[in-house]
Amino acid sequence: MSKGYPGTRALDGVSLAIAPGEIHALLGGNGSGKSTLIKILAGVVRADRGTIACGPVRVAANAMTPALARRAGLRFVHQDPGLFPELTVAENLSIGHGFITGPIWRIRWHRLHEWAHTVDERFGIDADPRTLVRDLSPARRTMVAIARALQDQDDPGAASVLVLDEPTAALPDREVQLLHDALRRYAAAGQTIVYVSHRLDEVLAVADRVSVLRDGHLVATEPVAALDQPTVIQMILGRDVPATTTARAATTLPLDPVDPVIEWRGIVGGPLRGVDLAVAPGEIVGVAGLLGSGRTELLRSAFGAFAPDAGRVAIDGRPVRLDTPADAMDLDIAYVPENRHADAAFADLAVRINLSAAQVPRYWQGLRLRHRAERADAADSIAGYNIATDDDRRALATLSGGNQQKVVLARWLRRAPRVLLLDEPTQGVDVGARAEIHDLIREAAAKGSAVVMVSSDFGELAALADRVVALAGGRVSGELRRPDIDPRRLTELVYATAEVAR
Amino acid sequence: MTDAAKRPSRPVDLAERFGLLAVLVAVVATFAVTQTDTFWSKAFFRNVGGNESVLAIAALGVLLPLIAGNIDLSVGANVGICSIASAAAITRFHAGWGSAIIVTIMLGAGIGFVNGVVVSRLRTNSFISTLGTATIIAGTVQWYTKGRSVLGTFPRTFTHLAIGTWWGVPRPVYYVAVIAAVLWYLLDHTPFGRYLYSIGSNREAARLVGLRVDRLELGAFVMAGAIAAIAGVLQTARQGNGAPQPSVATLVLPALAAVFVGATVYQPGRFNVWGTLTAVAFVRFLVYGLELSGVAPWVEQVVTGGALVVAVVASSLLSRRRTGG
Repeated sequence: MSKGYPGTRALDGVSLAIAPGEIHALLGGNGSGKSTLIKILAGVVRADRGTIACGPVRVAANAMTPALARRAGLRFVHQDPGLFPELTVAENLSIGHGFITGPIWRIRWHRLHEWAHTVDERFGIDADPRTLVRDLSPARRTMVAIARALQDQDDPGAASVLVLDEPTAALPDREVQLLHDALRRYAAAGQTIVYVSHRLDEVLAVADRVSVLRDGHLVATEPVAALDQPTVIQMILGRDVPATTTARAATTLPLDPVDPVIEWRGIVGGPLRGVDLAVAPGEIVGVAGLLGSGRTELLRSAFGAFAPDAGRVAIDGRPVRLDTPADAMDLDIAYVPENRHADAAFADLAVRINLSAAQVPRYWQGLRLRHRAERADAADSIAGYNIATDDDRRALATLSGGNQQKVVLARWLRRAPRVLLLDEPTQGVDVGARAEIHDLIREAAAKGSAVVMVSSDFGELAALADRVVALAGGRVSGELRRPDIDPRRLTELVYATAEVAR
Repeated sequence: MTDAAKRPSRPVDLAERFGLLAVLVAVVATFAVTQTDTFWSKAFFRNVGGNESVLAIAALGVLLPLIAGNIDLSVGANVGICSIASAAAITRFHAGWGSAIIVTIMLGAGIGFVNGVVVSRLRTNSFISTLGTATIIAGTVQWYTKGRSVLGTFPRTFTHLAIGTWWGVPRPVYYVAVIAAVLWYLLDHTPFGRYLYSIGSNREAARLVGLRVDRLELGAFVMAGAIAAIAGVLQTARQGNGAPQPSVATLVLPALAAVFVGATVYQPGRFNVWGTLTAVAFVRFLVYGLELSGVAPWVEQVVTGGALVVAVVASSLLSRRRTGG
């Protein structure tokens, strides 16, 4: 079984061979080509060249389609497994595959449940077929999704490849264990599994062999016995750490900010188990952490959008009550959320309205909204923040992602916040807009804002931040200061403590 | 998209913004020619202006919650109970007409408050919860009136509020104009209106720019209730009795239809005051014109429903074009 896909920009001449019945982990950082590879396999994205062979089926990689992928025996289960929580296990297994029906399309429930029971047994799903999927534990739900993907094969080993894309991202540790046990059983029965994950400890625990991608190239394929965590991290990051070319001049900040504008003291809540952090005016502090590490909750706790169980946020050394975002805004705190579409964009409203959304009262003078002043400010922002639009009355949704993000950022920077909380400010943004956003962040800090920035891109943190704290196991697992911010070291910090926590 | 396509004043945009107004003029002109005797007369226009002001005010009422993304299906029942309440206050409790109006408006606002609390604080789906309050109100009215109108003698000043004219224009038309002007001011020229539009666009984003979303939604419902009460008082004053059953079919659907049809003009894609009024005029003139032309009465429902469906389709196409989705 071999797969080779030279040619796309994201992937350059990658060849992978996966043996039948093995669990093969696929690793790589953001932008390594990992997800492109999966998409090519699924037939969602076309490769430029290369072939995909699976058992007896050979397909040119540029001719792959979802239907062909299915026929070749490739099955995919994604991070969000797309189950129907309000339907039963048996119904979930049947959807997409077809119900067992009798005359006049009547579903033959008895036979359906018997059949679902055999599927349950084959996949070791310890659940009655009549159970609603929402009542299952997360690991069992994933197993149902796997069973649904594979159930049309009578023989588990029949030249099929199961691709699991971040299957454990939303699972608690104990559930991960359950799922891994199940996967080992499937593999022992001859099922070939490709396992994509960020969690190194998991990969090392469950996989037989590991392939690492970086910048569209295959770094190596190694049996897991020959690997340990530091080696894998080194393979993911490469020998040369991304150069911090755009780094601003080293600052001479004292080690512990003497006059912090904002402090988090012993924040407990959600995944957080006691976090302290103090940030001084003019400082850019990065927060590194994996998905689910509590990085978003940390920011939101200082914006009245997440109520911690314990701990206080202090401004200028005094604890403050932050019950609502309005309370935080009164203290000149600004927050740019991670999910622009859901939490920040007024997609169908005008760019102008989006820009002024956080300071409408400013235009309320003499019992009317000063539309002219608002328009003038919008023109200033569009020019000043380099937002590409010809008309500030356009709906925000007509702008590109990068420009939308600049609008959201401008909305808050206009207020000249004392504290600027940024959650993945450059996610899903093109390279050009990204550089501009970096400049805007630096500029805000230079004007005296205390900037706290969450990013999954540790190279970005290294380039931008004065210091970076790593979150793992609900605590600050380490802190790096300029000029010693090393993305590789950050990766170790956010991963390593995850293992300690277990 | 080409440069020309981006300019907002190109013909297609103008057609979009003023299309309904042009159609309204065309409808009036057509019937003025074909039904000159009956349609094109002062008396007819006065009648329509007076009769349809209740509908126009009810439509302006549902506008506010709808902008914030909530539907108020209790408006018809609210108009009904307020009509009964104002009639009963005057004829049965011998209240002065001024205090009767004030009490009635407080009742309407109170019903709006209940709707608002159930929807915004308890986070229920407004569609089903206002349908529930509407049913409770209708039942209460049934209990109080036993299904009969509340009759009696009303002070002349009270009934003249609704049936007199000023400078030849029926007085209710002025009330509609005043309420419309107030709402236009609130929606386009105060932060309150801006906030309602923001909530309707993205509730979570509105919360994260510091808006007290639940209070604003509550405010919209309270105002909707107060406006419905005004419509109820007006109805009593016009008819000279408190009528127990302006229902879903005669008021709620036409009012909602007007708001949705109105969202396709002037500020396309936005629920707006002047569009709503234009839509009320359009739908009602069309129905009356057809009736005068001898078309059977069932046409009214077909026209109203048809206008609603066409408007909803048109506005979803428009918004897809505007947001490029």
